[in-house]
Amino acid sequence: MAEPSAPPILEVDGLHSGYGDVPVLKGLDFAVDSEVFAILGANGAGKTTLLATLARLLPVTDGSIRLGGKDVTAHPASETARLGIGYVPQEAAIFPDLTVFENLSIGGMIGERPLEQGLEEVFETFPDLRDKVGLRAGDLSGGESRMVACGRALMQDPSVLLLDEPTAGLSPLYVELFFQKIAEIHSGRGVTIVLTEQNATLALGVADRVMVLSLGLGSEVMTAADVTTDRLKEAYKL
Amino acid sequence: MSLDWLDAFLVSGTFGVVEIVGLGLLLHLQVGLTRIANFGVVGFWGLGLYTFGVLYVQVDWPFGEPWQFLFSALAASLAAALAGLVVAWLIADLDSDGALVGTLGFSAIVLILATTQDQLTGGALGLGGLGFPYDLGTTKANELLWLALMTALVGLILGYVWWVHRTPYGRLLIAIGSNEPLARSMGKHTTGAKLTLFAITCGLMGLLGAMHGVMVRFLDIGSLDVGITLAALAGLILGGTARVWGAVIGVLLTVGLFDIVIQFYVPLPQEWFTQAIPVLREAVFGALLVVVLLFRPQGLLGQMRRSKLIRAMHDG
Amino acid sequence: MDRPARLASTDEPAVDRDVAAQHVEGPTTSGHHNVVAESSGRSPRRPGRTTSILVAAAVGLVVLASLSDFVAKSLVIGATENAALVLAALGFALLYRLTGLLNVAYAETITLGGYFAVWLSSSLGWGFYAVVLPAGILAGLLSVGTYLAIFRVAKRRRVGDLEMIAMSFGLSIFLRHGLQFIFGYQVQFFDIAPPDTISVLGVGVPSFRLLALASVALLSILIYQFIQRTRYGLQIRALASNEGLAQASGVRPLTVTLLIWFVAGLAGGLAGAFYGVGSSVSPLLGSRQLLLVLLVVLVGGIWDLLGVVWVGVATGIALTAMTLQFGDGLYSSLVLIFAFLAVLKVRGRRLTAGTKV
Ligand SMILES: Nc1ncnc2c1ncn2[C@@H]1O[C@H](COP(=O)(O)OP(=O)(O)OP(=O)(O)O)[C@@H](O)[C@H]1O
Ligand SMILES: [Mg+2]
Repeated sequence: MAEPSAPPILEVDGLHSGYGDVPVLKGLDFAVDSEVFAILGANGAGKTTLLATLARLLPVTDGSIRLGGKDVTAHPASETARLGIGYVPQEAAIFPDLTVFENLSIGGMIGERPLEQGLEEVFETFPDLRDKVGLRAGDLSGGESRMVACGRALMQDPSVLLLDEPTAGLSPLYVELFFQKIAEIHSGRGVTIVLTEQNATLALGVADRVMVLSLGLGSEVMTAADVTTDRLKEAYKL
Repeated sequence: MSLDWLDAFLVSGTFGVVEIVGLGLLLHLQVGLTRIANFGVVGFWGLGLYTFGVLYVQVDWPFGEPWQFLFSALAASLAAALAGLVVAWLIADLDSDGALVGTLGFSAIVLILATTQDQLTGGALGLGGLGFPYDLGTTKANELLWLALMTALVGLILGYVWWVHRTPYGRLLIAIGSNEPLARSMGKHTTGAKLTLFAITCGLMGLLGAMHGVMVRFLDIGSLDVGITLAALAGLILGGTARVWGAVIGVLLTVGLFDIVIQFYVPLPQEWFTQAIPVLREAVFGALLVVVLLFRPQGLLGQMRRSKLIRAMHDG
Repeated sequence: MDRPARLASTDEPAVDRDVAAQHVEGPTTSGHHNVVAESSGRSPRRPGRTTSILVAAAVGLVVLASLSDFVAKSLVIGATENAALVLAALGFALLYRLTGLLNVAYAETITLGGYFAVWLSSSLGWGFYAVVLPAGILAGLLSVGTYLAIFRVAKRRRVGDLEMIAMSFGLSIFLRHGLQFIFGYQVQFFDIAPPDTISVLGVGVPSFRLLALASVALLSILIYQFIQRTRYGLQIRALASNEGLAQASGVRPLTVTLLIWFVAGLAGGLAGAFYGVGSSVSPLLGSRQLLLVLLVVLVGGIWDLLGVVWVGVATGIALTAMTLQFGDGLYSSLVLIFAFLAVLKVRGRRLTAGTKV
C-alpha cells in the first residue's frame, strides 16, 4: 500500500477554540510542512490562542489537529510535547524560580537524547547562555530569557517549534539576530517552525509562507515571495 | 402555670439551635458578604462567655439583678468587640490563609487563657455560680423565659442582617467580598469597613456567649473546642453563605436535626447519646461541609442576586 | 476568575493546572512561590557563607550550653522533643507552596500516621522503628486518596480559595471524628520498653528521643534533597512555578501532583508516628499540633523551605526554653502564638490587586 504523499507535519481542520464561553478561533484550516510558517495578525486576532491550542493547552471545541497524520486533538499538552511539539509562549515562557540549567533540564527530560548532547546543541545556538546556567532565570534580561525559553523547547528535540512573538520587546539588533537563529534552527536541524509576528515585514524576511489571522478566521495561506501590500491589506481586512 | 408537659432538654436543645442561628447570621456577614474566613467563631463567643462568667461570679457588684447581668453582659460584648477589632486589624491585609491562621490563633489564645487563669475561670474544673437575672419560681420557667429572650435577641440580629443588606454599608461589604482591590481603588475605606464589621459582629458573638453562660450556668472549657465554629459554619454553608436566611435554614436542618429531632423523636439506645451521637454529629457536619462545597457551593438558597452584586460594585 | 495565562485544556490536567496557576500568577504568592527553587544547588547564592554562619551559630550555642544549664536543657530537650514539628511543617509547607492549598486536614494525616504505627506495631508485634516507615507510607497513600477523592474534584469544579479552606476544615473534622469510630475513643500508647537515658551536654535524654531526632533530621534532609536535586523534584518545582509551561514541556501533571501529595502525607505520617511514640496517640494528636505547624509554615515560608526547617527548630527550642522558665507549656504556646501573629502582621502576605477575584 504505497501512500502517494506523506501527511503534512501539522494539519489543522475547522479548528474552534477559546476561553470558557468566549469563542476566539472560529474555524481555521491550514497545513504546515517542513518550513517556517508565519502567522500574522493584529492585537487580539487570536494568534496566542491558536498556538496555545496547538500546544494543547486550550480545549478544542470543534475541529481537529493532526501531527504527522496522528490525531492529537484529545491529547493533553504533556503528551503532544512527547510527540514532538515544542512551545514557546508569548508571556511566562520560562520558569522564573528555576535556574537556567534547570529550565533547560526540564525540556531535556523527554526523549532519548542524553542531556549533555541537548545542552551542547542549545549552547551552539545560544552561546550567551553557556555562562549563565547557574543564574535564576527570573533574573535574566528580556533577550536572555527569550533564549532560555527557546533553549528549553529545543531541549525537547521537537519536530515542530511553536514560537509566539519570539522577538516582542527585543531591541532591533537582537530581533535580527533572533530571526537568524530561527532560520538556523530550521535549516540546520530540520525543525518545522510556526511563529506569530506583528510585524509583517520581519515575518516575510524569515518565513516561507504566511497566513493572516483576523477575527478568529484565517486568510488564505500565501507564499512569502508572492505577498504584496495589497494582498496583505485585503487579508488584514483593512 | 404548669410546665410539666415540656421536656427540659427540649428547651435547652432549642436554645442551642437559636444560639447557633445567631452565630450563623453573624458569620454570614463576615464570610458570606465580606468573604473573610473566620474559623475562630468559638474564640469570640468563648471570650464573651468567659468574660461574662468571670465578671458575674468573681466581682462583688454593689447592685443586684438585673444590673449585675446587664453590666457583665455589656462588658463581655465589649471585650469580644475589642477582640474582633484587633483580629480584624491583624488580618485586614492578609488573604484567606492568613485569616484562617489569625482567627484560629485567636481562638487558641482564648482557650489557653481560660485554662491557665484558673483562679478566675476555674480552669479545667469549670466554674459555677452563674444564674438567671430573675426568678420565676422554677428552673424550667426561668429557662423558658431565657429561651424567649434569646429568640428575641436572635430575631433582632436577623433584622440587623436584613437591614445591613439594604444599606450602603452592606453594599460596601459585598463589594469588598467580590473585589477588595477594586473597591479600594474606587476610594472606599475597605479596612475601616472590615474593622467596623468585626467589632460589631464579634461583639454580638460575645453577647451570644454571655447569654449561653446564663442558660448553662456553668463555665466549661470543653465548650471552647471547634464544635461551635463547626456548627455555625456547617449550617451557614448548607443554607447558603450569601443569603440572609441561609444560616436560619441551614442551622435548622443541621443542628436542629441532630439536637432536637434525633435527640427527642428518634428512638435510639440511651448510651448512644453519650459518645456515639456527638461524635457522629461532628463527623456528619464535617462531611456536610465537604459535600456541599463540592456539589452546591452556593448552598440550598443559592447565590446572591446578580443585580445586587452589580449594584454593590457600582455604588457600594 | 479568568486570568490571561490560565489555560484550560483537555480532560486530565485541567484540574491541577489551576492550583499551580493560581499559585504562580496570584500576586499573593509572588513573594513566596519562588522559595523552593531559590536555594537550589546550582543557584549562585553563596551556600558557603550561609553554612559558615550556621556553623558559627551552632558552635556559639554549644559553648553557651556548656556554660549554662538552662541553655543546655532548652537546646537538647527542645530539639529532641519537638523534632516531629519540623517534619510535620516540612510536609505541610511542601503541599502549601507547591499546590497553594492550605490543607487543614493535614492534621489528620499526622494523627493517622500515629494510629497506623500503633496499629501496625500491635498487630504485627514489630518494634517502633520497624513500623515507622510503613505507617508513613500508609499516611502518604491516604493523603493521595484525599487529593483524588476531594481536592482534585474541587479544583475541577473551580471551588474558591475560602471554600477550599472550609472544605479542608470539614474534611479534617470528618476524619477526626471518623477515626474515633474506627480506633475507639481511648488514648493509645506504644508498647515500648522503658527507655535508657543518654547524657547530651549534661542533659539526660531518653535514647529513643535521640533516635527520633536523628531520623527526623535525616528524613528532612532526604525530603529536601529530593525536591532540590532529583528529576522528580525538578518536575515538582516546575509544575509549581508555571503549570501550563511545565505541561507543554512534557511534565505529566497528575503523576507529579500525586507525588507531591504522597511526599507531604509521608512527612505528616512520619511526624505523627514520632509524636505518638513521644507521648500517646489520640484523635486530637494532629489537630493539637496544627496551629503551631501552620504558624511555622507561614512564618518560615516568608523565606524558603529551609526557612521552614529553621523556624521549626527555633520554635521547638523556644517552646522548651519558655516552658522551663514559666513551668507551664501553655504560656509558652501563648507567647509563640502572639509572636508569630506579630510577624505575620508585619511581614504578612499582602493582599494586592487581583487576589480575590
Ligand atoms: N484568558 C482569556 N480569557 C478570555 N479571553 C481571552 C483570554 N485571553 C485572550 N482572550 C481574548 O481572546 C482574543 C484573542 O487573544 P490572543 O491573545 O489570542 O490575541 P493575539 O493575536 O495573540 O494578540 P497579541 O498580538 O496582542 O498578542 C482577544 O480578544 C482576547 O481578549
Ligand atoms: Mg499574542
